[in-house]
Amino acid sequence: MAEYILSDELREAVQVAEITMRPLLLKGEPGTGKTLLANFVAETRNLPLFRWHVKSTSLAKEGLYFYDAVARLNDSRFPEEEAMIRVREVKNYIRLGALGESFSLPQRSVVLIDEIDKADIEFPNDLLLELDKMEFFIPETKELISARERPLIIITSNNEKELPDAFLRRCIFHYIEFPKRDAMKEIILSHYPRINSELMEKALAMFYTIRKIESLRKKPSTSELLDWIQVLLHTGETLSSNQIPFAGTLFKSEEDYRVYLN
Amino acid sequence: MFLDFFYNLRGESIPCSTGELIAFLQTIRSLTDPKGYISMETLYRVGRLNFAKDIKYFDAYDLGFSKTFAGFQENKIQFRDVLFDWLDKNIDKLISEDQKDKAPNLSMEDVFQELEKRLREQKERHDGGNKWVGTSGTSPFGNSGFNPNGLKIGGEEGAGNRTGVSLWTERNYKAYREDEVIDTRSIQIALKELRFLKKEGRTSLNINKTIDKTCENAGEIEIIEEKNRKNALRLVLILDIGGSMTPHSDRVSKLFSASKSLYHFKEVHNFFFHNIFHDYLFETHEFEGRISLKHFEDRFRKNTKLVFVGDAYMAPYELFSAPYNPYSYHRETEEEKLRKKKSGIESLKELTEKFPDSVWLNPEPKRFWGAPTIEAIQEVVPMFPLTIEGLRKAIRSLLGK
Repeated sequence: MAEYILSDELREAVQVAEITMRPLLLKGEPGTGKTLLANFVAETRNLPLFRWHVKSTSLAKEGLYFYDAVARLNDSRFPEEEAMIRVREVKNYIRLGALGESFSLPQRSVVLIDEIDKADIEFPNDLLLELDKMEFFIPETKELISARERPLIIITSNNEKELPDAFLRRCIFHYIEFPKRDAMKEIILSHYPRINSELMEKALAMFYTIRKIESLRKKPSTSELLDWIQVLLHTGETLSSNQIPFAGTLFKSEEDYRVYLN
Repeated sequence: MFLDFFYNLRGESIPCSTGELIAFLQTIRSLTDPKGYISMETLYRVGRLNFAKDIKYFDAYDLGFSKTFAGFQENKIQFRDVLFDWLDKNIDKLISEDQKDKAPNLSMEDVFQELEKRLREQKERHDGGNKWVGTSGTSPFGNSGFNPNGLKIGGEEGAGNRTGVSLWTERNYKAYREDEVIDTRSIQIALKELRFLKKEGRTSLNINKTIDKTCENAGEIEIIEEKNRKNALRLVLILDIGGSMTPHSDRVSKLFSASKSLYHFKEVHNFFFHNIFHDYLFETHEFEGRISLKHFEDRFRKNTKLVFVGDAYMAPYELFSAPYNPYSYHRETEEEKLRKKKSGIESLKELTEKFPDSVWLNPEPKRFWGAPTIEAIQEVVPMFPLTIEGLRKAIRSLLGK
């Protein structure tokens, strides 16, 4: 992975989240590096990272633990000695989720809850107590899992659903701005260190001009720009004319492509 | 002072509570240097991290912040106007003097230099506002008939750092306020609230849960029945297009495209009409694919939700008397013409009686709803303005909340 560029504002956001011990909620346009932040923080501080990619069917409990009752029933049906020993202890069928694992570690860790807005509307509310107290109870084993070291929790959202107020109240909120030109240069250089600076300037100029078109349904983002530059480098395109070569890398819908042509 | 800040933010209707205040104070305490100082920018950002939990509150936060910490810009808009006035006057003076003495070609450069000098003075006076003045400085030149680009100072996207006072006086987040904007995404979010009504389904056997429960009971079968969680919602958008709707076409098409990309409903359909419909609706915006109201009523179930979109503004005879609709008239046979006796408002009444869950979204601001046709339609269908707020209210009304 190319180097992740941490803006000062984002660094400050992480710092505030650490001071207040609250989860950091990140929003921003797609392609602004919301998800990558957790990787970066974990890597630079040498902390273990637990990822929880939320899906539309995800339940809050899955991040804590999962009782594999089917496996237990299966074990109970076969009179093998090993299985019979296993089946007696419910504990053997408790699988911890990302939050659960992080709580049970003796050291600090980073937890990424990715795209929390994908799940059901009630999902964030079901996590309130767990995020507040950093502990939860497993009724099956009558065990209380509580964090010895409060992990740094990073939550990302794409704004598909509004998050409940009670949940927001417990978070630190940061909105990642779309990278400005200078920051974007740094990002490009970190991916393609040997890029010709003239080409980069031209590509950036075109890119930001396209982003200014109001009527685009989906403005191209960082990842599209990087893909595009890769194609440009590969084909040796110099961007000498006003035409945008390989526009398909930048526009993801037919409608936008037509808007651009006009 | 921080308490004032807190209450000012609440005054700007940012939902924040004691918990956030404590977290904020905690952060401030650990971020201040040993001498007890903290920079304005850090304070601004730390406060925003703690208090403003969505980008839609950022503008309100900027207002609350400057109210508390920058007395002299209590009302930024005024402040800016004052500055504009000042620049206007002084630049005008400069130009006229210069133009008297020198050739017009040369004066441009001089004016530029003079402006720069002025702006530097301005910065000293207002301490830190240099960028702020820089960007607004272009405006008086536009007024005075000069090329604004020629005198633009560092206004390009991404050039330089925004610092100091500029950050919260620019009101960068104004566009994100919910009461002012409507874009495809926010429409989608609003329309998704329709998903709330998902308890309509029948009870059915939940196989997964039954298995789980049975396992937990160590093999004792326990059957779990649940209501179907599927969204059985059927939504029909009926759009007025052409004529007086043209100025609103942007917003309407946003609503339209938002509805197109909703996958969560059982059915979403679109129909079109011009001003008001009588016996027919059209399937395309080019008024093709005619469907009679009778057919429409048969085709959709009674619980289908109808959303009309139109300004409800037309010549009264179009609404109150039997039709002569220029858009469909020439397509009709003699027989059809004879049969048609209903006026537009009667057709609307008939349709909304068949489909009681109907709303009308009007792109005109509410204060213009005085026209007789608007009032008449409002009596038949609940009408809401086509804003995010209005859309929410309309949806709540559709759901009977």
